[in-house]
Amino acid sequence: MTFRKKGIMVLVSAFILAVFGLFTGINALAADYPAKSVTMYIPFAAGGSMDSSSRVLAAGAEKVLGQPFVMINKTGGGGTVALGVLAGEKPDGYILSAGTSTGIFRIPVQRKVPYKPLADFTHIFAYAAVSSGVVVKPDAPWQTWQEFVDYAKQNPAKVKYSTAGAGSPMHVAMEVAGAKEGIKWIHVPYKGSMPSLTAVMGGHVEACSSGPKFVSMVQQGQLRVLAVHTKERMVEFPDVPTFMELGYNYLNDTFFSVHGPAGMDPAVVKKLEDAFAKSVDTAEFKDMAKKFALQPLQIGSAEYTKILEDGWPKQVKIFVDLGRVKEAATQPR
Amino acid sequence: MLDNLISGLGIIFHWEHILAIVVGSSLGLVVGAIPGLTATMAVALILPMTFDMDFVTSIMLLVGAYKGGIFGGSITAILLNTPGTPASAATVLDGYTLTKQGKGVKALKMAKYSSTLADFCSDLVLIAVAAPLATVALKFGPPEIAMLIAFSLTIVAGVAGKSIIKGLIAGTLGLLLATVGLDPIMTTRRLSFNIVELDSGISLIPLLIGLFALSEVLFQLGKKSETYDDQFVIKHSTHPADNRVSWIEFKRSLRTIIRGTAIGTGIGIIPGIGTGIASFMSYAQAKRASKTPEKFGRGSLEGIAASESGNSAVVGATFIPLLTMGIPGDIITAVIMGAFMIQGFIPGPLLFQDHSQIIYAIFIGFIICDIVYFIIGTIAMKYAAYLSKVPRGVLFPIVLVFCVVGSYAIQHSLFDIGIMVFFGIVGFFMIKFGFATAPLLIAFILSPIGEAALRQSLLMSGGSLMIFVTRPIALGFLSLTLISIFGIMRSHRKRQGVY
Amino acid sequence: MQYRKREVLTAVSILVAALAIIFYVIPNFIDMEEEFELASLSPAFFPNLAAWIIAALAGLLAISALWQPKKSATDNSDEEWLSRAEELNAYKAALVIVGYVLAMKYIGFLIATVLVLAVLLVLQDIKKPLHAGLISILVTGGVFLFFYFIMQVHLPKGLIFE
Repeated sequence: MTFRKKGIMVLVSAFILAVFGLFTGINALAADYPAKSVTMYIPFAAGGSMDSSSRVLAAGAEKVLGQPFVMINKTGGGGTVALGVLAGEKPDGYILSAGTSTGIFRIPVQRKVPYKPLADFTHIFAYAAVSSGVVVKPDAPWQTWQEFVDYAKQNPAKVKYSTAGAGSPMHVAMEVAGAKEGIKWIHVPYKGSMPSLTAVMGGHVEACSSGPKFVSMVQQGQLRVLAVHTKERMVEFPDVPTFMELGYNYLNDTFFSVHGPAGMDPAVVKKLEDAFAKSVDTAEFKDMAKKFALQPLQIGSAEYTKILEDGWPKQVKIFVDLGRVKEAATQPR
Repeated sequence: MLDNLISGLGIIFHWEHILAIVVGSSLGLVVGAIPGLTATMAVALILPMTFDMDFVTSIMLLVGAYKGGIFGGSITAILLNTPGTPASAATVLDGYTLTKQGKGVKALKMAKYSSTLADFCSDLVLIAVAAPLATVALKFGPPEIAMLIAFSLTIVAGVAGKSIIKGLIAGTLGLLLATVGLDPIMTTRRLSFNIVELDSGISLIPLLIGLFALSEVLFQLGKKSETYDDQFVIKHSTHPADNRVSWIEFKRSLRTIIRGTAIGTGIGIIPGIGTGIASFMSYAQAKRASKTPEKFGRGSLEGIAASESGNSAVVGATFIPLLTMGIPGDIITAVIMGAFMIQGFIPGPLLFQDHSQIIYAIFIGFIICDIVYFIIGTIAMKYAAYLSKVPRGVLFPIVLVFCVVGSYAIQHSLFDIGIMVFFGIVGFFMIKFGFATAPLLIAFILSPIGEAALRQSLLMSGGSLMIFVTRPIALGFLSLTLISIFGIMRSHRKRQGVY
Repeated sequence: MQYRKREVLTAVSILVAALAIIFYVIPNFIDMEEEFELASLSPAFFPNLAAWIIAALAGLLAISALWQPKKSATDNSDEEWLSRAEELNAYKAALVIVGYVLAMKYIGFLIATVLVLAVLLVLQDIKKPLHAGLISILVTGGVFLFFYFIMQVHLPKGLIFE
């Protein structure tokens, strides 16, 4: 090629090489946290409730901390891949991950994961809780939970219910209820919330034990809700009893949260807690929570860590009693 | 409905929305056209950028990228044997052969015409019958889906290439590979060797890129160029007939296009089936109905028309279960559904009641997308011709880099790159020993849905197989499956020759 | 004759692999805790089914290869494949690619890609190493910048830099 073309190519290449230098990981010296952008992994795919909620949360926190959050979708393993990667990162506060309590004390009990759920992380903040409940078709003959239970007792092995997946809190809830009432009902697992809901709408199953998506559908009249798994009665459905009220001693304790590697500086953790708490208070967050039927929370590090640690033996007992495992598949520490 | 359409027209014709369509389609087309990068990646990466945008703008950006991406994927499928999405995998069967014959531009133009026509028709169906069709779709429970998948699996025979036994082995291997990961019903770990990344199974896109694209890269990197001309893989012919599609050729393929549109639309409407299969099914049916079936796989324009109409028609139709029931057909539509929900538009029948004007505006936007990508596609094709000037020694190493990046980008996962390389090597040896790769892909896509449906059906029936016979739709597809298998065996007996 | 031998060998290896999967891999690598009333509901059902079908098909393949008369003249699939020397080239390239992916984990996308492109371009007989170098850097840089700024994807930085 001509000399001029060559010369230009050399110059452009040199420029690019110089830019490389900036990007091959020269770390800014951390004077005061945060001195540069903070990376947060999102363990679920784009478009889902965890992806959307964590992005909104981060956007609110950015304004408080004064540094941008870089959100990276690292999906896989039902959320465990991102946590596994996080466990090996430096606890300098610049790498965090969104996550769920399910990834900490439910999945590791059922199968082996590459991290120690209680020892490998600093649990920073829980920002939302999911609602779940049992729904039936609007023209179904059961107006109340009790009617449904009576029907199931009279028709053993005939009543089918769908869920978004085996081992999920919604599935466990039905099994716990069934055990307490002495009912044998058939579980038909689907992949994801929506398919499980359309199964009940299409009459392929009698009921669905579903995650948050049922809320808008009940409000639109497409489904009827018989019972909920939340701690207290849901604001949207004040007449519907909770599983706790019904005597089943089970509630859905799935929280959306933020974690960091173990050993983070408590001062940094406090800054993050404050930023997230303020973010949850914003109108944008509340709006997003409403759209995805999430309940905003502001649970700080100490309280959340306690919830997880107390929850671990409870979850182990639940799954052993159900016969899904003989002992916890992963060691917590 | 008419007044909704008119209001919709008023809503969509704002400069921001049209700009979003143009930008989305161009970005999607460019990304899809780069071998190794996929429409899936484009849409997933655009989503976070749309959070602060107005609803219609964000949807048009994403849908534009979707449609543009599928077409872009076809461009690289034809020119470089590397499909940009699973949907374009059927196009490589004939497209690449045509390129090697110097008829690449002809193939591209046929793809463009088939795609646009099919897309347009399926969008019209979407506008006309979205809501009523939803009630039909609700009737599709696990037994119906299981039988439909069984029927779809029989199309594997249509793309098995020279040796049907080898094609079946490849297909069954796809079935086996699909079981890697968590069991869909019991969530037990299967065949994942305790590698956490495999819990969600082998990722489809890296597998696709490896199997089709990287295997070709390896082949090309091995080849030594005998002569100066040999260096240029993409042959450009100066013969004018090779660079356009004549009216006669188009007319001959018209029936195929219509059939492909019908098949694609039908598949799109059924919730949870997935879009990757539409092009293959259209291709297999076209081959069966064609007067010249032996040409399929050897550079048949009809083959391209079939595959392209199938994969485009499914795009519009797949929004029907998405919007009326909230069930996405594939990753891309799942992302778009997320976009709807983030903006507060919850899928369901009430979506049409409460927001009909905006929904119809979006549907009209779909049609505008078709027009836009037709235009952009025409422009892009002019540049594609320049590719013929790049020698293989430079082209394919660059394709390699894109394969790597395309596999990494969706999940930020180095493991996925590893999957891609693994299947690249697998694909290389499969081709060496005469095994077609398309059956593996088809079975891999269909098997998880089919297995879950089968087991859900058995759970529903308490273990009885009668459930597939007592439900009318399921029985219908079961019969179709049996007829199909019978038909394959009969045509094979006629053919004799190599098994 | 060579064709037939190769076909039979392929078929037999597949058969052996399938049997290995059925009798070793599946029992050991599927975590099953409970017993199942119905075999078809078990997680191991589908993998087993698939493996058995493969084994049967492989057997069929071997039989048909032995039964087939000598390869007919119309089968030109070998002509479209690579010669021995070219195939060796392909293996070399494959090794380079594997090395590239492994290296990327440690030295990051930028350096690894520049290197691999340079190596591959040289292997492909690009006459002037300067050209190879320039193309490597420009392509790598272009890809990186496109993904970093437009698609917001952070390509691997490399472990030694963290």
